[in-house]
Amino acid sequence: MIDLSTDYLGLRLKNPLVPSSSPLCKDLDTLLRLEEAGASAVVLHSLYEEELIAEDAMTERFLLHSDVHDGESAGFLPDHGIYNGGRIRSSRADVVRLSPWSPSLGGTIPRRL
Amino acid sequence: MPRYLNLDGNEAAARMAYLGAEVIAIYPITPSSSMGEWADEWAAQGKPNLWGAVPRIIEMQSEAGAAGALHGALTAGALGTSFTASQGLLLFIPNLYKMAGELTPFVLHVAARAVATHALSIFGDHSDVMACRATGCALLASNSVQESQDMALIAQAATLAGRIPVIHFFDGFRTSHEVAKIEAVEEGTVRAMIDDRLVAAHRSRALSPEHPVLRGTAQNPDVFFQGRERANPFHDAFAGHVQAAMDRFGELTGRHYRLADYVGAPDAERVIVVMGSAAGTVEETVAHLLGRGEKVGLLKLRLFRPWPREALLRALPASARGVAVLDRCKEPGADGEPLYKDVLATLAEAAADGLRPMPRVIGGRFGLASKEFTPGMVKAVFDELAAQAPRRRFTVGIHDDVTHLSLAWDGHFRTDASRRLQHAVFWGLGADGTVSANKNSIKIVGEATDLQAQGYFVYDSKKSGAVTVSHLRFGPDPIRSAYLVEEGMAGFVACHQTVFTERYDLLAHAAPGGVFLLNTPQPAGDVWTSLPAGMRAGILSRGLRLWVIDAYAVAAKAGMGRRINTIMQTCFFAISGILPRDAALAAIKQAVDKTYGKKSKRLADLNHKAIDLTLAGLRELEIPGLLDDAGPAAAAAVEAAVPDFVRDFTLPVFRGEGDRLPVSAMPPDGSFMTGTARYEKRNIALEIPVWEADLCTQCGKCVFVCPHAAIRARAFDIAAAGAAPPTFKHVAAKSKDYPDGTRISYQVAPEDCTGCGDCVEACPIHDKSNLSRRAVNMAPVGPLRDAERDNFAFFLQLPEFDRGQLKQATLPGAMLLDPLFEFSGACAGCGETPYIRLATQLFGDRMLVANATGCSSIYGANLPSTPYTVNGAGRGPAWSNSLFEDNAEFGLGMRLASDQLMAQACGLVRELAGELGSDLAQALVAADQRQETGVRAQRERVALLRDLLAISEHPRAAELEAVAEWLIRRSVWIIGGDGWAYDIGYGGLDHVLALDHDVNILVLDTEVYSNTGGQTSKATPLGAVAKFSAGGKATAKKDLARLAADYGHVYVATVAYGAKDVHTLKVFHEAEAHPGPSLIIAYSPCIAHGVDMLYNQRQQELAVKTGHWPLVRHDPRQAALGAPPFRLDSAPPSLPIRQFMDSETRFAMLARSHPEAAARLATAAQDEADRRFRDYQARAAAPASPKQE
Repeated sequence: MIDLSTDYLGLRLKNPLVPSSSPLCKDLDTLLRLEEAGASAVVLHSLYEEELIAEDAMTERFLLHSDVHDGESAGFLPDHGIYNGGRIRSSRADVVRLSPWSPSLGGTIPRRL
Repeated sequence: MPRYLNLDGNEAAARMAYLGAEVIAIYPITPSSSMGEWADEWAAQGKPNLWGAVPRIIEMQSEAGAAGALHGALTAGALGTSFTASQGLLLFIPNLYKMAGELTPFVLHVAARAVATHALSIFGDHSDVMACRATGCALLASNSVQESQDMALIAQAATLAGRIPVIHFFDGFRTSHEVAKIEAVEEGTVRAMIDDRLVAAHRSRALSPEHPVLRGTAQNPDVFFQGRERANPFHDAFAGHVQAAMDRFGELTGRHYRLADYVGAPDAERVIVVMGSAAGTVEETVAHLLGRGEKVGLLKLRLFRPWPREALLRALPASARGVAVLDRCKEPGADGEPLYKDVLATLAEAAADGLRPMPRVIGGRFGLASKEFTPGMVKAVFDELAAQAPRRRFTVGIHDDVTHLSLAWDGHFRTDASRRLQHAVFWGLGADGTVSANKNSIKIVGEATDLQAQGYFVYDSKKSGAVTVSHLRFGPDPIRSAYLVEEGMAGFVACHQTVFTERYDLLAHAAPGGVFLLNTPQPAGDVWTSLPAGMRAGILSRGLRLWVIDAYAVAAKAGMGRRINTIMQTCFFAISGILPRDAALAAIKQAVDKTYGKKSKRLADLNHKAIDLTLAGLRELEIPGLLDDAGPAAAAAVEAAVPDFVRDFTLPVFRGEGDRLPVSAMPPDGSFMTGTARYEKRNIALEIPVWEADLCTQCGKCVFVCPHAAIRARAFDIAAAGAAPPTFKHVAAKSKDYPDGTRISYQVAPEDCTGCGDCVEACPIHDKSNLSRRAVNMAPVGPLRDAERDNFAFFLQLPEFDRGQLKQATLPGAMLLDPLFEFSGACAGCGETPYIRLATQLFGDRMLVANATGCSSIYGANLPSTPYTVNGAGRGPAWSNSLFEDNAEFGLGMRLASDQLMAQACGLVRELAGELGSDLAQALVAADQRQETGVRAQRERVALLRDLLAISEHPRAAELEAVAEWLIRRSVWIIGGDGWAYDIGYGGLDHVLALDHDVNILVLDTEVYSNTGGQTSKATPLGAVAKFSAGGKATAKKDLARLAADYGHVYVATVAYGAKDVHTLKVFHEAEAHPGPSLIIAYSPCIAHGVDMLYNQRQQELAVKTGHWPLVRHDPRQAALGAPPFRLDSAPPSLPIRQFMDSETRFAMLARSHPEAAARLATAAQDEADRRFRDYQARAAAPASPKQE
């Protein structure tokens, strides 16, 4: 078999097939399928600090809503437990665990976070 | 080892109901709503029922709809259930007769609640379930949170076995909302209780084309009666099925129940018979009295229908010489209430048959609408039974000084069980997290210890600044106390809001030597002297320990903003010693991690930091040994010059003394004076607006948007300003419309403002040298309150400017009109109330209001006060609420009466024309009263008419006098929310629109059921998350405007005052002037949208600019002029709808749970907005139809 391995940003990749940041990289299941299909790395969507802050603000709003009580209502939106950070947030967390493939982290930090 | 759960009665019942159901049809109604919400949440999580499938949850348009859907589902072979209460249960009744008549097994879980009579009440009693006693359904009572779980399952097993539908009920609020530690029924137990052969038998009876039958026939006199008797064996056998299910349940769980359970002395002489949560209180009291040698007992009746005659006779000791039967309902005119009558009949028959001697049986009413029922009252009933000649009919819990039926009771009576418990009371705000924190504390104690725990939460009736009082109990034994923590019993009392120290008797519950914890911003050295004198005296006389924390400072330091719930919870555990301090703190941190962990590590860290900072900031104060008289007195008494009714009724209820009012203090028919909110002075704003007269252009926008009518404008002659207080601001009127010397003032009501800040956001003027300064700005209320109070008092006594001289079609002119709707209890920043206030400014002196049940009826008329008020002449809106579902019809009736009586009066005027003079008579009957000037002229004519009638000797003069006031045109307003207009009341609304009567219909569209807590309505937009639309609403909002406009003769408009204020004003004028039905659909931002209500107007503007809320008008009068009647009043959307959706939590939250659905629905929402706008454009471009011409 031809050796397709290559170096990229200090990472040794088994081949140069690296799906770019795209809708394919939004969902953890799809990421795993990409890996199975041979992708040596993926480029994840950027994480922006303000986005995380906005998510926190949203969480706070959920929580504030769940704290509003009167005789007839306990909160005004469906229980925030269902919304639990959401799949986007969760998938990001999982992908961060797969950070060795993330070129933005370079080769100087531990390979697993 | 059983597993314990800490939950409330609704959740306990819903857990069981969900497992045994395949179709759940619901409609929200307090206090049952959360049962349906739990089911919806579990279904959204994919939780399976007993057979591995996720039940289908369907929210219907009314309880009648839910009942119909349930009937259909059961008929077609599914297992089904529903949850309801009160008016909702009444709407179920026709179907209950049908389902019972067809021997259809199912359980309806009811959080039993008062039925509206002289007033609506959301609180608990048995008047709703007792109204169902003739339906043929079984009635099974649960007495506690534990039982609401257990009986829910027993009911399901029994109904499958016996085919009689069961209404399983427990007390609304007292049980439905009480949080308690209970033994869980595990799924295995449910599995063992539900016999799949019976499920299969139910399926075999399903309507099926494979083996068709006919059901629901019409029958004639020849056979109907026989058919009705044919089912007798099923009813006769059903009590046996219930007992068998109880027995099986006992084998599986160790908790044994009987149809009629007796506890007490085996040789009891006096016995109380009761159903519901009161049984716990009676049992606790019986135990206390037995310990003192009294021969008393309690018969807890669980099954009321079918009547368990034999079980009752077996359970009741033959030694009983006196039996008191307590009913939590009232049947006016009857010879006793239902339970009493049935017990009496059974005992009388048994005595007649010689089975047992006949005891003396007395019947009493108690606990209507959650009226407290305490051990002292139980003791009073036992004492009455011991009397020489006990009253056969009595009430207990009130002081009846009219019909003298009430028993006196000892308010200081305490049971041994109560004395063994630890009690804690917490005063907080509805929105400050106190209730959530206390529920969490119960969970921590319940899970970390063997202690039993109980929590009950009392709410006041306001939506802004609502006070909540949490009553918590802990102890080693089962807690049966179904009543509030008693005075003098709480070892721990916490006040989470400093302002309460001025308003309430916070120490009444405090036990001698207990702890009083105060959240206060005062430095420790100043706290003592900052307390009202009465409170300081109370602390000293009770020997309380005073602990303080500046929770808001801690929250700010920890980065938590104004969230103090975790901080106050930490204080409770740190001081109370209920758990070892370290264990408690670890448990709180664990709970924090559970709540925030997955969502936001930052928030979890902030909470941890707050907990640590709390411990550093919490301190016990040294209290001076003697009372000094430094510091403020208690809150200033409201002025002495108040109407007698306000003095004798309203003010005591404000003070929380309503329970002490006697029967005679109440009006007999539910009619109350208006104009009482002005006496409340709730002082809930932390900041109030300050008017900058130099910058102001007098545009009136701040007044226009104020939800509480707390900022006002008035024009007056300069001569009237002479006696103004020194800080009262007024400037020359800028408009040339007013005479020289006219001054204008914009004045805040400092004690009535809620501090929402909407006025500041609405102000279009910025100081060019300081852009953050507007013509009105928020400032801390503290230094302003006293001066502004005087200024507002002065402002109020200024005469109203001549309404005839004001340009009412302009915003500055209209906002100089006095509002006749002020200081409601609506949420700060409410998007509904500005519309009502506007209507009262324009038409208030001639308004008749029919108001659907909902937010607007609660902030409009929930005692103790009403925001509807009168003008200087004593005229103002006359208001009533009939039901939720019939409001359009109710208002139509008002119109019909007004028109009929006007016609009658006109006829009499014509008949008496000779006496009155033909000019006056002609003017009276032909008066054009479309505009206010016409109404005013007619009033003057009617005054003249009355003068003439007073001296007339015409035989019909008195008759005309009695109807003369109807010669003045009434402006009928039908007001309600979208839940009413789009859903439960739509049939009636549609009918009223289809007729051609002069009514003004105002739909306050929040796009969700706001009052019951955010359930989906047909007004909920596509893509929004709401309860019962957890995955985002998949269908578009109903286009009510288009439907109404299609009739042709209806005036229709959509408005959004925050987007186009002058348009809103114009629409109100046009709608009122239209002589037929008018429909105003008013966009009303709501806290249920998940937006900061400070940005109320911004959201309205976004809604219009993005096409979420196009502004349209359909005016049939235009058609008559040959112009297109339909107009589009807003420009084509200039922003994508996504921008609006991203700005509100109700849409944005979907991206976190269902990102693909969120994206898809956002696209669909854009398509829908585009489609609707194109449709409106096409309508606006169409020529007037020949029919309309």
